[in-house]
Amino acid sequence: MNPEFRRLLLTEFQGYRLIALPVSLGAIFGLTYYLNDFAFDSGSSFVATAGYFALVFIWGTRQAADSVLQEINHKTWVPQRMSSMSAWGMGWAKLAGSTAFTWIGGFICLGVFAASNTEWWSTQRLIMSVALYAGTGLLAQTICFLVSLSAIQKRREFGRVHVVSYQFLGMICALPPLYIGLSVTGGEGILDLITWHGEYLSLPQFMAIFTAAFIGWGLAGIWALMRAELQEPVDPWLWAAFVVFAMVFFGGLRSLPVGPNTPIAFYDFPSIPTMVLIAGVFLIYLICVTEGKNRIQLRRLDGAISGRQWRTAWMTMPRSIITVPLVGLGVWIAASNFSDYTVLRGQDLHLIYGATILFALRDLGFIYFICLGRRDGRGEGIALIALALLYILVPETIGVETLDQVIPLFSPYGENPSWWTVIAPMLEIGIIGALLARRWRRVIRGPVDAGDSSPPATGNATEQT
Amino acid sequence: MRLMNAPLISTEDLVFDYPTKRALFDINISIPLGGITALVGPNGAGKTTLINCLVGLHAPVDGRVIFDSQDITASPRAAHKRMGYLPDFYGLYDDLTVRQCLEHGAEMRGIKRRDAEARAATAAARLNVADRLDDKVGSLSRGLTQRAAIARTIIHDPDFLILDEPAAGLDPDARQQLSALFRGLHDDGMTLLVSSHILAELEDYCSDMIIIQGGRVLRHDGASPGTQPRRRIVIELAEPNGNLEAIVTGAAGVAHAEFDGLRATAYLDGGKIVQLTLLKHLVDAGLPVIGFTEIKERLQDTYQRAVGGQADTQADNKESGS
Repeated sequence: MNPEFRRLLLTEFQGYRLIALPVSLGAIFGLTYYLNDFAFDSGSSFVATAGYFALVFIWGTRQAADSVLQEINHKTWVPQRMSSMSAWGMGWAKLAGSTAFTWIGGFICLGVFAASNTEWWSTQRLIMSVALYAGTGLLAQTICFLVSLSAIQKRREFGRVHVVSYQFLGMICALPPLYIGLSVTGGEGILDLITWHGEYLSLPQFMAIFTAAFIGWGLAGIWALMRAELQEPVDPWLWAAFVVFAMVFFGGLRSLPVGPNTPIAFYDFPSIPTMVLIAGVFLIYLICVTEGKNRIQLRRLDGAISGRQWRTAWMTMPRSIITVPLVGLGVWIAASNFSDYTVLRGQDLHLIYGATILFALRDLGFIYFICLGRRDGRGEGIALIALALLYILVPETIGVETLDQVIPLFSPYGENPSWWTVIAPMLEIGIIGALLARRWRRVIRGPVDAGDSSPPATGNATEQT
Repeated sequence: MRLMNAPLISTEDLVFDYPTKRALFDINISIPLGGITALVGPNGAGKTTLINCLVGLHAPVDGRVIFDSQDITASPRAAHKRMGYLPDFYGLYDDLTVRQCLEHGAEMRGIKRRDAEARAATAAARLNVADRLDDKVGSLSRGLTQRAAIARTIIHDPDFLILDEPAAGLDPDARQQLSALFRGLHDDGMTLLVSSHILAELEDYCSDMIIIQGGRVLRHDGASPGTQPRRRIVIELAEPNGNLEAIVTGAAGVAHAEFDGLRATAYLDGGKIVQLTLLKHLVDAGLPVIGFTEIKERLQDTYQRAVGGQADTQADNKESGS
């Protein structure tokens, strides 16, 4: 057995807890059974669902998010990093071991849930519901663990607020399939169809594919981040493959869920290239905000480029930089092959696609520009607030909606796209690029301060190769 | 076959930066195989940062760390298999028993489950915690916790053991036991690097010393013949002798000498043989020698001189700069 998994089982399955959990759940379900005239019915189904939610989604996600952070806070992580465990062995053991106890309770709840609905539901619907619940629980925990692993690449001190915020992020990611799972439980959405890569799928079927695929990518991400933590090289190809997958996956969504009350506009929009664009641009911002931007990594990159060490440069390249051309290529391919989807209300969308990617590139440069100018690790937050102001408040304040020629400076979307739609963000990229280059020369190529050789208070001590 | 005094681990122009400051400046050190090297320096000198680079947990900005001819920065995990590192915190799990911690440590180091139990028992016996194997780590005293942590660190029989401030917080008895343990590990062929503030203990067992301050190596003694500290011999005569200076400075192995009336202080390059040769030379030359004593420099003095000298240099630089 994986020794780290065994250690976590030893820690989590302490004697009194082993007894307390089944006794508590038994008491709750026994009481429900008694109050429902000695029967499992909708009441016990609701209690079981709530119990599952509390155990797996609330407690389990917290355990997953806290798994590595606790090791860092309790200073047990250094011996783990010096161990011989493989990244995959360490990753799955931590995820499964830290949440195993919550799953015991979760499976008891799912059992009661299934028993409560056996009489009224078809076997297929029952299996689908249980699978969706279990899958979304695993997805939420996987994402929580992934987010916390991503966080330790940037900082080494964590409080309760960090754990809760990483837990919250994981739960948000699992909300869509969870929502569908709950809809199925309520008898809604079973007949709704969705077109995905030319196939008609029911919503639960689609969500099962979504959940399985993203659990798989979540585990791949855990493997990659654990490799980085164990000082093993991580090739950016994995991230690039995920970007391509996400664009293909979401690009295949021809329409949003279509039900009897679906607005007619949803049948036509978003189009294939637009879905590819949305997925791609979302990933540009996501990786830009989450990736490490410390000066050591950037100095290493700068040194590798200056020394023409292309392999090192590729390995240390910020993933966001790699993502931009990939998204551009993906949108171009989608727009070229599905040209009938690139016209909206008579307007050619190609220019808007181009402008959107250029704006993302501008924002990426802006975020790096701000981050390089700050030493307190708050650059990303400040840059995002500044960008929000730039996109929302400034145009509102100066009333640019009345000035067609000014709109492209603030937004890639306009009523009448023209070449100015792409030239405007290009000009902004030029300005941001010049400012960034100047700051890069000063901060990355300039002399490094000497002084006290202790790690800084933020604990940003881990630098990945 | 490897030679004793050949470096087990060395650095070449090692540079490490934290995001906003440089922590290590062109560090060139070598730690000889089979020795016990003390790494000393004031708080914030860069000792722990240097250790983290040596064990491959920090990737340097520039330079290399060579462990037994292999570049650690290229493949740190291969080197980890032959290293044991005890950080200044012990990193044990309070909820587990000592036995569970040791077996977990063994298996995490790639030792098979069937062998882990025996390894745990051996390591516990070596560290005198065999009678505490079934106690929870959280219930142990600091000294016992530390011994359990060392037992876990050496459970895979590493070639190179690194200990960061191992004596911190221990009572005098526990420190003495620690010194004995280090000598025992050294006798078993392990190479040790010990970072500590408590210089008096390091003196008991260290063969080499690296003094670091402000991210720079101030002094590196004993790593190679060229850096061996000179031995100081004080010679006392019963009555004045006009040939004293000529006889002493003319002796083999005397690098230089100082004279003060009936006393002479000779600085020797070499070991006991050179010392014996000098004594024989003095007696053969007919000097009335009544005292011939080696004055061992205490680590504390060496450290103070190195750190103080650096402070003086910095002050001088400041003055000349202003």
